[in-house]
This record gives sequence, C-alpha cells and structure tokens, in this order.
Amino acid sequence: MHLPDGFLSPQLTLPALAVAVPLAAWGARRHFGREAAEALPVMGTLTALAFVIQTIMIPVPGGTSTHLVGVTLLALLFGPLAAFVCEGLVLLMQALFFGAGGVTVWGVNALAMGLVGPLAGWLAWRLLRRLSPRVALFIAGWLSTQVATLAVAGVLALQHRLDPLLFPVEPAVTLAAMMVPSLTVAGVVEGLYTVFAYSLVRRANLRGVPT
Amino acid sequence: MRVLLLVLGATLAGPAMAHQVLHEVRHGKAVAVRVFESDGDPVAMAAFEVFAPAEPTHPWSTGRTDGDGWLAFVPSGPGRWRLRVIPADGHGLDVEVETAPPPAGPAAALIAASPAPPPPAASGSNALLRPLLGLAVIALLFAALVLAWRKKGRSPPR
Repeated sequence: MHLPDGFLSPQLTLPALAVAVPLAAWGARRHFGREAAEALPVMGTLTALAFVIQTIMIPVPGGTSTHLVGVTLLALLFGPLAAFVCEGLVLLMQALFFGAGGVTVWGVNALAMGLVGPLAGWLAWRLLRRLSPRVALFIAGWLSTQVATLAVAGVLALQHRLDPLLFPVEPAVTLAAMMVPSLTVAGVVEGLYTVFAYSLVRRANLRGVPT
Repeated sequence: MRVLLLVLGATLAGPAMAHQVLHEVRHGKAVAVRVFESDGDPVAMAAFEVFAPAEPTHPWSTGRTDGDGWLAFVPSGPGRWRLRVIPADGHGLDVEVETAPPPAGPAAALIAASPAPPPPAASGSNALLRPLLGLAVIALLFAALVLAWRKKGRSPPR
C-alpha cells in the first residue's frame, strides 16, 4: 500500500512532511512521556508486531499480493495519535531496512496509513462498540484499511493530475488496482486481526493498557 | 530497353527496401532486470521507463514487464541508467542500474551461455536479517525510553 520514493513530486511530499513531522513530535510528547512509561512495553511490542505483519505478503487472487497494517489495534488501545507515531516508526524502519516505502514519501505514507486510516477505524469503533463489540472491532479494522488505501490512491490520482510523467497511470486504473484487493482481502484480514488481537490483549489484562 | 529495365528495377527495389522492417539478433547486449515482491512474486505486466544517464527527463525506453516480472533494455553505453517500474497500485520501484561496457570476443559468448544467477532478494540470510534489524531497532528505542523514564524517578512496574 505504501508508496516508494520517486513517484510523488515535492509539491505533495513536502506539505505532507510539514504536517507529519510536527504531528509525530507532538504525538510522541503526548503519548510517550513519563506518564506513559507503564504502557511503553505493550506499545513497543504491538509496534514490533505491526512491523512484522507488514512484511508478510497475503496473496490476492489475480496474481498480486497485499499485507496487513496492524495499527488500528494501537489506535483502539492507545488513541489515533499514538498509533500515528508507532506507524511512523514502522514506516521509517521499513524504508531504511527494506527499501519498502521511502524517506521522501514518509509523510504521505504515515498520514495515510498511520493517521487517516486508524482515525476512521477508531471513530467507527467508538460509534458502534455499544451495539456489538466484535462487529465494531471488525468494522474498525476493515474501514481503516479502506480509508488508508483510498487516501494513497487519492494522492496518486492527484500526482497524475499534477504531473502525469511522474505517475502515468490513470486514476481510475489506480483506484481499481488498489481498492479491489483492499475491499476483498486486506480489509477482511485486517478486521479479523483486529478482533483477535484486541480480544487477546484485553483478556491478558496487561498493565499500562487503558481500560 | 536494358536501361529502362535497370531504372524500373531500381525504383521498385528502393520503396520495397524502405517499407521493410529488418531485425538483427545480438546476444549479450541487453540488460535484463527481474522485478519481484519481497515474497518472490513477480511484478508482472507493470509499466516501466528507462532513462539514459545523459537524458534524465525523457525515457530512453518504455514498456511492460513480462509475466515473470522481467524487463529488458539495450543501453547505448555504460553508465547509471535510471529504471522506474510503475504498477497501477503505485507499489513500484525507482532504482539506478549500472551498465558496464560489454566484454568483447569469447568472453561475451561465455556470458551469454552462462546460466542466470538467482535473484538476490531471495537469499535466505538477507531476508531474515533485515526484519530482525528493524525489530531490534524498535525494541531498542522503546527499551531506551522505558529506561530513561525509570532513571528519572517514576519507574514502570516490573
């Protein structure tokens, strides 16, 4: 889902970095300070888990593959801003150690996959959790994936409009290529992962996890 | 009459040659690149652009990867050629490929005849080492934070 370097122009990457870097700094101050010391081991473990599951490719019928993000869980447990900081760290590690994603596009990827998607999932969970907790968790994971994918597709479409030489694929083709695996496979697996992992963390009654 | 036949022959042969599409086969001249996902799946049928070292703004060559994720181009000379692979979902590649002058004579024939080396990212140790390094850095960062707050007085429970 995340974009590599060389596909987006500075017109898009610089504003994204200008928003993402201060937001990550603010989020880090707010959620990783002394008060959060008890929560840090759990947050660290879930961040590491997100890093690992983002490297596992899930085959999609038709020859392509996708992967989980796993950050909605962090948003539901610690808040969307904490999830954004954790996903920002994961994306940076991926760019540095795998060459997956990129450094110049870090802001775009972090905002789409770490903030916009998990925020949508968190809002859906807050709205629906009284009706059915498990359904709310599943929808949170599923919706988070769709919104994040849509955000990345939107950025690519905008890039095509700004400079088709940099990203020559038509927006409709990009949208179909990204949303079909997301709607049918990635979102469903993310939803199931969120239900399973959230239930597991709650049952374990770990210290530092807000109730 | 003989002159007329010669003129007729020349005028017929000219356009016929001009409309003909010719080809030649040269082994060991093209650069072949295989593009694949981290799990080894090929990036098939994706658009690609190749930029010559001297012409970084206009593609030297464009096309699509084949079903196995292979693409090929014939560089006009040695240097760092930029290669962009652009799948529709944006999960692509933007790298530089170093091309060396082709070896002449029997060496070229040997290279053409030798089997292709295995894809580099498929090697097991590398594939395992990089996620471990990423995990180690994440663990170190969080451990350092916990230790820092513990040192400052408000220690987290063990």
